[in-house]
Amino acid sequence: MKALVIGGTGPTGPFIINGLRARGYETAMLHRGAHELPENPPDIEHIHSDPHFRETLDEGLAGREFDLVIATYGRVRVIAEALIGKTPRLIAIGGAVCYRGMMQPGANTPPGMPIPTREDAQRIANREEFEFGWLIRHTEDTVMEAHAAGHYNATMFRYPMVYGPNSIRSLEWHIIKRVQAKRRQIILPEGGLTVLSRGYAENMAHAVLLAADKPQASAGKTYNCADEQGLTVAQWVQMIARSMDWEFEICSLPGSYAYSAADFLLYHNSVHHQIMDIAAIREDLGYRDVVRMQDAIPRTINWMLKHRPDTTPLDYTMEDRLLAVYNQTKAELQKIPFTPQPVHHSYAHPKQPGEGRDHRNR
Amino acid sequence: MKALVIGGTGPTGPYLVNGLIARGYEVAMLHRGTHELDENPPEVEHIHVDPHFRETLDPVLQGRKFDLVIATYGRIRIIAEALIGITPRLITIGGPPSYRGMFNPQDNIPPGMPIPTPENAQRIESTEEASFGWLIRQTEDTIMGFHKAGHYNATTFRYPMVYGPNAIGSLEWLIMKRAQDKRRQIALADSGLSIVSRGYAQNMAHAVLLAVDKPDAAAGKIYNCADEQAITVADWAQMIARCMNWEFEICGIPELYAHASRDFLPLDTSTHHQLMDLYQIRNDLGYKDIVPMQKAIPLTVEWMLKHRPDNDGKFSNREDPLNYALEDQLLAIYNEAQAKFQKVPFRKKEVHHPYPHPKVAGQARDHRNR
Repeated sequence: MKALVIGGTGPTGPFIINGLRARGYETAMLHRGAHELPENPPDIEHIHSDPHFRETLDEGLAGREFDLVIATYGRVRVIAEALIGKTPRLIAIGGAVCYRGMMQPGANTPPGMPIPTREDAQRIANREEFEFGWLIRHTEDTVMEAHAAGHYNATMFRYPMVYGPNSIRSLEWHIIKRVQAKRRQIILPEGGLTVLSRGYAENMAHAVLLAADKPQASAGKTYNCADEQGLTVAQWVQMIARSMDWEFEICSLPGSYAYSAADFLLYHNSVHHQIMDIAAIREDLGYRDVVRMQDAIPRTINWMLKHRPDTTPLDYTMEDRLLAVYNQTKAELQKIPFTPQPVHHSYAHPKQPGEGRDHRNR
Repeated sequence: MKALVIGGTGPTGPYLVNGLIARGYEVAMLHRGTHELDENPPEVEHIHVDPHFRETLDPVLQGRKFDLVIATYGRIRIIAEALIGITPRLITIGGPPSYRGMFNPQDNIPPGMPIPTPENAQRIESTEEASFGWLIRQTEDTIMGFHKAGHYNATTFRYPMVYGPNAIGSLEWLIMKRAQDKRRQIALADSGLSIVSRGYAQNMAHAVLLAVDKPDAAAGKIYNCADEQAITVADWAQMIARCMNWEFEICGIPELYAHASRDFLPLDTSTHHQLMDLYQIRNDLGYKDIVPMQKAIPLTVEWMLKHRPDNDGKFSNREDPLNYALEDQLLAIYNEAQAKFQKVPFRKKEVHHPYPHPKVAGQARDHRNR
């Protein structure tokens, strides 16, 4: 059996390639050749070709056939077309950005993406609404049209923000460096309450490999995938700190002013939740995390410190300016006297029989 | 077929009673008799007795048999014992306080309840950990013990905070009053980003009735239940306001100091999310909302305005439930801080996806050097 992985040097690449080999596939990689990873076995074939263009793909794929192709990188709608006649089975990676409300929260009522977001949630309808999201949606449609036309059996995954060894944008560094600089206070928009579904690389590769194992159950399906347990920004920050024996004081700022956090939060500090519903991969593919998030985060941090030390200092001027205002405000808030009163359940809980109303008049 | 509903005058009661009648059951209600609802048909037998005690339950249940009992109210672990020999099928209602992390977020790593919280999440282990949660957990264990012992086929639902017609302790009033009083700013802990799974009464009754219809699939199971789409506190407040042609300016106060908005969260819990995983009821029982949250909230507000225009001023057991004086103090500090933050100069950076997206073939790195 022959498999082709398009991409393969991102965080999930080595897990997918080694997983395919463990399943008995003779595996080749097609990628630009700009990066290589030591985790990929030395004996696999490399097709160095740019997976963004028909001309380079046709050249690299000329005369080739594969029992399975997993396309994790490149211009997937171009790849989907180039693969017609070359494979009976295509698994392709897209992303959650095709959902309406991710980048323009106001497009939904209530604003933001549905909590949680299911695969059948509303997607971006046209290019004018949001170009990047539309391209991703258009890619999904292209792949599924080729599936419906019988060109191959296709499955798509909407990857969340992937973390772990070899992940490309390692936002974790912004937190690690703050720990190394022994900064106690960290500014997070709205206390960092925003939930963002993330996926540990090994878990996401596992989801993809389950689809390789279950071609019937996953035929023509588009799946969300993410770690089983979602994380708030604050939890993510504290988990990173914890794995370095540190704890932050989280300083809650309105999203629109928490500028310093924009570096590690993307999306201009949008505080809307992005929680993927993963019932479908659980139901169809029996998905369960291979590594729990509680273990995956420390593992990621250790890997980063060991393999990609980054010593570029961060500039904390902005954060310190904001913290000055925050601390003044906090001092004002602390002056307000407040004694919490106990709250009772609104239903009657009589302590003895025969009372009309209970001791709290419920 | 005979069914007994214990309770029946809460928000899900009439939907259960009428749903059972529609399924051909002859329905009786057992409750204290303190409240009655017009929605329950007059032909329903009423057994007026307190469902919190063996001594009150035993005399009225003696000699009675029911094909099905749904226990929504009372001291359920006592009810579960009292029903042995009386019914082959028991569906009971509990709640998520049995989960570790709801009242003491720091007991979990990371703090709070898992997002989302599946039924097999860690529960409260002892009365010292959280006494109310421990009671709820003990109740679940008692019922499932009787199920395993073969006394009856039992199913338990963990009701979220239920809203809709006839809801008791309606937090909606705290928001509706603010809209009526034309308060533009509302102080919410961390801008009301907390997600709280809630359940519209008709939806929750539907979940329970699905367990009536599918006794085998639901046998011995404990289910979360909630509306399919959850909502944040901020969106909940804005949706209520919108029903009253109002819109708030949401003012985020750090949680520790957001005293005025504590009552917007169920049972004074923290701002940690309370999002229930609904995989099991969807999968086992085919649960889907009857009324989506986007329609259920307006229906609730409309009902409250019509039937309980000011709820006799009893929308809370607090002395000053609206707490405007405190809220105004917080808002003054908030507004002052906004003015200061506005003076901090800032220019937005462009954000690009980290993976290269070459525009022409044959480049080693793309136009953004990726």
